Amino acid sequence: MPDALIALEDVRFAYPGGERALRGVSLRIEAGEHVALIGPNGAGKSTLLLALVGLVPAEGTIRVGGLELSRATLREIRRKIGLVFQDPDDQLFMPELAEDVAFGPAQMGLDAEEVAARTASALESVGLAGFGRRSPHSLSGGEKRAASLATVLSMRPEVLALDEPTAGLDPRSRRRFVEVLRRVGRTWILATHDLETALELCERAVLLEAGAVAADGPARAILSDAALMEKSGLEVPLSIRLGAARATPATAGSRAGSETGRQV
Amino acid sequence: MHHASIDRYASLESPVHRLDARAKLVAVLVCTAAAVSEPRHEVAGLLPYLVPPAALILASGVPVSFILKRLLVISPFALSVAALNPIFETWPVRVGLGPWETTVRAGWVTGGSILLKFLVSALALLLLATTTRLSRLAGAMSSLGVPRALAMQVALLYRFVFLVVDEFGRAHRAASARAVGSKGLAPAAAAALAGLFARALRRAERVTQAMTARGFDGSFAGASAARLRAADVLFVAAALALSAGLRLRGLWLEG
Repeated sequence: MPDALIALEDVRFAYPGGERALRGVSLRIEAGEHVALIGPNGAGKSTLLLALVGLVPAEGTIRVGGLELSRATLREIRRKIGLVFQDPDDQLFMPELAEDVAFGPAQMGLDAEEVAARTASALESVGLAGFGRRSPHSLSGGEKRAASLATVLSMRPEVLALDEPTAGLDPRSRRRFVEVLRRVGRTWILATHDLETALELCERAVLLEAGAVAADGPARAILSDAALMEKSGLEVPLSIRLGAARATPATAGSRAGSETGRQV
Repeated sequence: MHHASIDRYASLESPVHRLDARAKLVAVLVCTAAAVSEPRHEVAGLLPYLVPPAALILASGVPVSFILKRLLVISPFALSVAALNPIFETWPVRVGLGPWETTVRAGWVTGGSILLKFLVSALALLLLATTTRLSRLAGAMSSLGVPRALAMQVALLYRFVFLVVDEFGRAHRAASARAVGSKGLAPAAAAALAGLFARALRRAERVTQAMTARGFDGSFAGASAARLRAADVLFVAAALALSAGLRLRGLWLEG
């Protein structure tokens, strides 16, 4: 079988306190795929993203672009996967935005001109051209999210690994983020509770439960499986429920209608 | 949250702002060193040291009220030290201003000298801090021989002090919302501080992960420092000449 862009085999990890965060995760992600990692709190979504770039010492095999994750390949693999953390205040650690965006390329050993060009291009691609001299603490929530994305885009990664990228965003900022990601990303993995965004941005969903893969398949099929969602402590996205209600008003109308009514 | 950061006027456009951070840092260090090395009873000889930083602040366009407020914030320690001097140094000394002469306690003279030295140092530092972005300052420290890791600490401290302040503000508001009057706030503040420490540690861990994910392996790959312009060199030369001139004048008058 040819190498997938990302291949995980029996990946396991337990935190020092003994909590087993990953219990034998096996996955293959091809170039160009858009994958949503979904699951309840503590399912292991964030830990799996950390394991992908060797930030937690997981057992098992992780291969990225044909390279097996090891001390020798860490640098190269971190160039291939751009990991964006859940809290932008963790991601943006430099006093000025331009320095933050330049941090990755500079650590890659690129020359000053190339670093400056990549910084300008990454900021422009997320709609933050002219924000380079701004301090992260002066940015809005949406701007911080976009800036976080720029900090990895400047490294030109093959895969974007995004941890809860839309958490805390208002609808307009969320919409902008979706548009930016569509414009700049090719392959991405989204660890998220925002199932509407998962449905919108990903054609494949991997449901994690207690550190193991509970389901893996087309996002729409998984997210519309009410029994599976219920069992995993999630719920079918409203857009699917409303769609179902419109399609079969006689059978599903009263249920979807009553749920919508409760939300209103 | 909004923060009244010290470098909020650092992006203004003025000849002072355009000076290289290294040139300003060297000038401030030289000027401060010359002033504080004046004898402890020197008062009149310290007045000329105030002119350059005051003139440059005016030229920078940074509001004088902003500088004065910062001066007030940092002055209590110097004021109390100066105020104590007349209590301990009670012997009389003759002081003169032009044709007028009078006798005062020695402590008033040394206290005045301390205040003036504080003013020179504080104005020079405020000039530097308000007209230079802190990241540039950290870079200047690094290129002037301060270990890069230490300069980086300054930059990171500047970035994260706001987050710590925000977190403390949130914890304080949460405690205040549930406290009746001020009773019970002290223990809550202590608990909030402990929580803040724990959160700061967790954040440090996550920031390290974020840095590592972007290729950080313990050494920083910094951009090479820009070349100094003629204006920067002239500025440093003028600061050196002025400070040396004032100090030599003092030594000559003493001698």
